[in-house]
Amino acid sequence: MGMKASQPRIGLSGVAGILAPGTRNLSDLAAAGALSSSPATLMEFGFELAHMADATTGVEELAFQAATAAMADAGLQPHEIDVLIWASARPENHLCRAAAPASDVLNGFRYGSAWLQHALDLREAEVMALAQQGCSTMFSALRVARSILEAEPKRRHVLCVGVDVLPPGAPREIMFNVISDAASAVVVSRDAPAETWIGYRQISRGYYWDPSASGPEIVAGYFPTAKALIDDLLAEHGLEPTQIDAVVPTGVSRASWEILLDLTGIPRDRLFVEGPAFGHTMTSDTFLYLQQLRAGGRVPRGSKLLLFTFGFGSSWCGLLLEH
Amino acid sequence: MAFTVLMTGATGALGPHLLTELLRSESIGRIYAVVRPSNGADPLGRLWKGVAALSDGSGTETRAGAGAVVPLDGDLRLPRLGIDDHRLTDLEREVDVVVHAGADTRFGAPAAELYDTNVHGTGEVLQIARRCARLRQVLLVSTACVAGTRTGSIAECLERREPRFVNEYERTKWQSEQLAAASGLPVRIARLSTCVGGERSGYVHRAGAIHHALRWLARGLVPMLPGAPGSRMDLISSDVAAGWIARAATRAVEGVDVCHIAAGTRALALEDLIGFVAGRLRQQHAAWIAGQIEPPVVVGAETFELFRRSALSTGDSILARVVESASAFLPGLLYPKVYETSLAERLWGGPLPADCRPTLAKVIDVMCADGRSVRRETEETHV
Repeated sequence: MGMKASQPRIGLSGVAGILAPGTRNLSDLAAAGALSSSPATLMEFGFELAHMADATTGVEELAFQAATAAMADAGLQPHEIDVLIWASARPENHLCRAAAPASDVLNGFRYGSAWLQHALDLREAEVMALAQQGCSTMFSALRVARSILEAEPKRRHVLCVGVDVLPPGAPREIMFNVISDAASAVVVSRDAPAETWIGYRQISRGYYWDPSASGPEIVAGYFPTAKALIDDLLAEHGLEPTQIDAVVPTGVSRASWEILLDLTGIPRDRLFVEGPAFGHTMTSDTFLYLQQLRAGGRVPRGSKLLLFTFGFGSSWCGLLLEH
Repeated sequence: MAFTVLMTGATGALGPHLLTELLRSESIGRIYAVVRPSNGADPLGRLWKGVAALSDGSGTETRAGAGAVVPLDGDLRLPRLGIDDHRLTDLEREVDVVVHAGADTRFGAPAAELYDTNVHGTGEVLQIARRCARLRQVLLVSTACVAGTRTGSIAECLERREPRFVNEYERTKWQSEQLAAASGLPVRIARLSTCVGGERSGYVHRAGAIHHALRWLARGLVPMLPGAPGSRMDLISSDVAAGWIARAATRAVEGVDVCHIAAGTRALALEDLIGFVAGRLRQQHAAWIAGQIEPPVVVGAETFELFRRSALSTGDSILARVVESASAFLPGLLYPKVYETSLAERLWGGPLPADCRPTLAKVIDVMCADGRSVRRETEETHV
């Protein structure tokens, strides 16, 4: 399906997601002034709590745990990773916590990607990072990973690590989503046995570049653009909406997924939502759900999966996989 | 013999178009125009402004300035429209035709306010008409929306049985029709479909729901429209509507006559209309030219309601206003219908000009020149 004979069989060989261990319920968050909407409204949207990092479990620890788990899921040793791609929606999460004063310009070069390579002993890996894609940054990381594997036959495994942690005391609600801290990691491999890559589509619309000034436009623009993307992606790969067996969502409002599925003609029962609610983690939602899907075993092999996300910027991204 | 006309709604959305067409008619002499007082503004000046905006250089405004139009301070919500006794005597002696085009057209307005203007106000107009010794006709300007949620072919006849309505505006206009029909006076009911604006320049005297919707659409604030297979949006130019009324005002009527001033079978399918609007925006609106905004998607009732509730739950004021206003009239699209127009066309003398696209294109150019400059206008009462 959409795969040419000459193309390598590329897929996701390892998937892991790690939520920050601390949690606070909506009432606590509201009392702390961290929410702009009422807890009742956010409950109606499907949110229950936020996972929050603390002094002992921050960006580095979450990234380390997710990367370790993904490599274990793929059955790989650190030296087998050819490329490491660090991804985060927020600029501060590209840097490690600094001991030196903030005025030290060298603090700005304490890259999380380099730290992770060192901490995991990814001695063979080439390192890079992706930013400015909002919640779709990890999707772009996967896309780059796949392109590297296609273009460079000697590379076999690319480890993508996404991590997002809000600063201490920051608001926990972004455009009606309750934000959790988390990390995720995906190993994109040549000859992966499952989650085989079928196709990818991205639409980027700079008109919506400023979420502070264009909130209503973004909410309104989300649906027709998402529909256009999914329609195009399915058509490009000869798939009817009803042939999608599972939609792996992000942790945003449940109602928004039902609306989107109605718009695209994908039956609502194809939405894969299992496990306890964790809010919205920016880059990691999809992979927290995908991890559950892989572990659950209830989605048959060969099923067509649609992964979809939206990121400020704004970019809409869709990824088709064969489970 | 030239007819003397008493007119309401002269400063409303259709008012300048209607006044212009009445002035152009050689069969019409004096026009008494009821104008609601507005902060000391000169009533003739207010009428003049709209007529001048539509001027095509044919001298219509000269005739208006020469005294053919007599403004009367009045208000549909007041007994006898608040017109003083002296003037009422003039009207009772002179008026041949009453053109009642005044209405509160705010789809989302409180029911009591709509009733006051649209039903009670019509009752007051009929009372005055009853006392006019030379009365030949009351021409009630109504709306095709009185069909409410009925579907299929909508006949040009009075609907005695009250249908379900999408909003209270529709209900009060249906009630006003019933009132007029029961008056025993010679009544012609002109049910207009949605008037988009002037043909020559796209002039819109007062923005209505369709114009607000176009502005929101230009800005990318309309992600979806409710619709059903076969849904059409029936649009006509304001000039066609006004021209038909001016012509009908001098034609004899007996009993109750109902006509649809509508595109009828030639109304655009909803998807085609969206495609046309999007195509126009892609020619002249920066964000659309750059392909940044997707046109709205047509969805069923359940999905639209889910979106409406979600949008309102967000508490975002702009989105809430767009969704609430849109919800007051867009759900009418869920009930596909085609307005019969044969009686209107018989009076017109042929098919009504039904292709609204040239006019709509001009209106889009005027209304949506810059999507970012959408003003947060409040809808006003049209009297």
